Amino acid sequence: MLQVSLYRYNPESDDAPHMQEFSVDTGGKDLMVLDVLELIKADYDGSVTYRRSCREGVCGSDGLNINGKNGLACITPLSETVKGGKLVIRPLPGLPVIRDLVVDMSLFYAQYEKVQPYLQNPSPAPAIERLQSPEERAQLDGLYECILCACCSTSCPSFWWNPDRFIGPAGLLQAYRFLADSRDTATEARLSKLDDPFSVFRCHGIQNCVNVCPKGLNPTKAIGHIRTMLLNRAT
Amino acid sequence: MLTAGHVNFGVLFLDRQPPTNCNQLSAHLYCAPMRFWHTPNPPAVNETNLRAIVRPTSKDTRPVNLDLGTIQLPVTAYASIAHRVTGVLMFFASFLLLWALDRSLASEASFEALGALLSSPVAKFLMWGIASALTYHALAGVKHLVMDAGIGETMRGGVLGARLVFVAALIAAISWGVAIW
Amino acid sequence: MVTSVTSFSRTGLSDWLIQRVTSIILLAYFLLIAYQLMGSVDYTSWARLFEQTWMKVFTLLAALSLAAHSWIGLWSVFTDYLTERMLGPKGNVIRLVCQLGASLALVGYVIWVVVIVWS
Repeated sequence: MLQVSLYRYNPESDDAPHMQEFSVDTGGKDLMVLDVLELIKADYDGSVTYRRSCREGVCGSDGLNINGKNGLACITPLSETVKGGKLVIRPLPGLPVIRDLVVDMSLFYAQYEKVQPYLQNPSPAPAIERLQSPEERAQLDGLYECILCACCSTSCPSFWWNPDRFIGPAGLLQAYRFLADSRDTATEARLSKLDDPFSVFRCHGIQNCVNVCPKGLNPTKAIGHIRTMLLNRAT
Repeated sequence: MLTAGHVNFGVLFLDRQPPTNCNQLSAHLYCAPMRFWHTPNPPAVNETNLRAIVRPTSKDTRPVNLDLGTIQLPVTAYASIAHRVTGVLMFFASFLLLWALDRSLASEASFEALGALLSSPVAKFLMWGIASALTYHALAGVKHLVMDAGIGETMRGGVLGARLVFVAALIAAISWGVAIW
Repeated sequence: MVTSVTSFSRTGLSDWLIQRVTSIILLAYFLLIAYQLMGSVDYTSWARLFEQTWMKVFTLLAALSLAAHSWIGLWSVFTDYLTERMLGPKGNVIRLVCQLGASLALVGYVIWVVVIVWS
């Protein structure tokens, strides 16, 4: 039996969140954490609320704090996270909880929107596509794969304390994704918006983001690249 | 316009105008599947409206899961926390260091008096604490500089760096202890 | 662009760069002091060291570095924890008081060093 401890909060009836315990029979199988949540919802308590969609680590809906570490429930096997038969599932840290494991991601999205995560190039779009060399395209590897699950930003202390001013690892990874794109011509405008003491420079290289990214991406490195670009621009 | 791949944003921006710099015929065929296009007036998120959306107010009574005891941190995070703590300590310790510098240079008599004072157990412990904190802060700072140079920005590199800093600081703290007592 | 009037140099990049440059000056200064303190120190050699012009300049430089380095570091500590988000409506007042106190202390440190070394 797996001892599961779930963070519960119902805004209509609860003043404060509490932890609810479940004993779940996993049938000795190495399930994914999401499977356990589905089991609980089906067999124990139908009111348990969480986000999920693709169940294969592509949509980024089920980012949760699993045994203290942010990750996607659907691709985190029990064997990887459970020690001593206990599974503690809490919502992503630092964002307001709407209900149970569902957090309000407005802040996260607002920071993402601030980096203007779309290609900017005023020249008329060619009929087929804007060409890139394989080398130029390779610059985007490790950047474009982000699925915006928010595991990184909500594990980052700088984002916990200043979510309205520090863009956060996810937003900055995307900022660099467009700074590094050979087709994008707004580099100067993008950089000038980042050179303040908060947007980029709140990053202190803590690396919690790298530690949790379910896609194995490295925001710390991207932020380092942005700093180098800012430095080169200024000197 | 944002990438259509992200449903959350797709909904947010459904009411936006279609791209204006694609010609009408090709817009449907090419722009939409390409997912990126230029808008002359991108969504303006600035500090003022961002804070208006998200600024916590006393009206927002929703809980936030930020119970630090439940969050598992990598060794790099502990290295960072220790860097910050020792930094703040050094701000206060600077007062004592400046005072000691002042006493040591005022006169030969005050130099001797300082020497006598610093041989008391409490002063020795303080000296050891300040020296160890400063050494840790300096070593963690060197790690920062190394990472600024692009070395050790991977998780493995960061963990190795943090462990090296902790081990070196521990050895330094022991050495300071031996030197002081 | 997030504006902030209480940061050391107003832009993130120069704050960051000043933090790095001052850290190297401070590291060099403390290594020198540690080297001097190894073994036994007597008043005559210690006082003679601080009588030399280069050491006076270096000490002053270290004091200025300490002030800038601490300002930037403490400012980021204050703006992390002493905010309206963390402390409620009084957060900004508390932070400004702490920032003012720290700034005054740092200016005091620099003046003190000038008095110690140049008098």
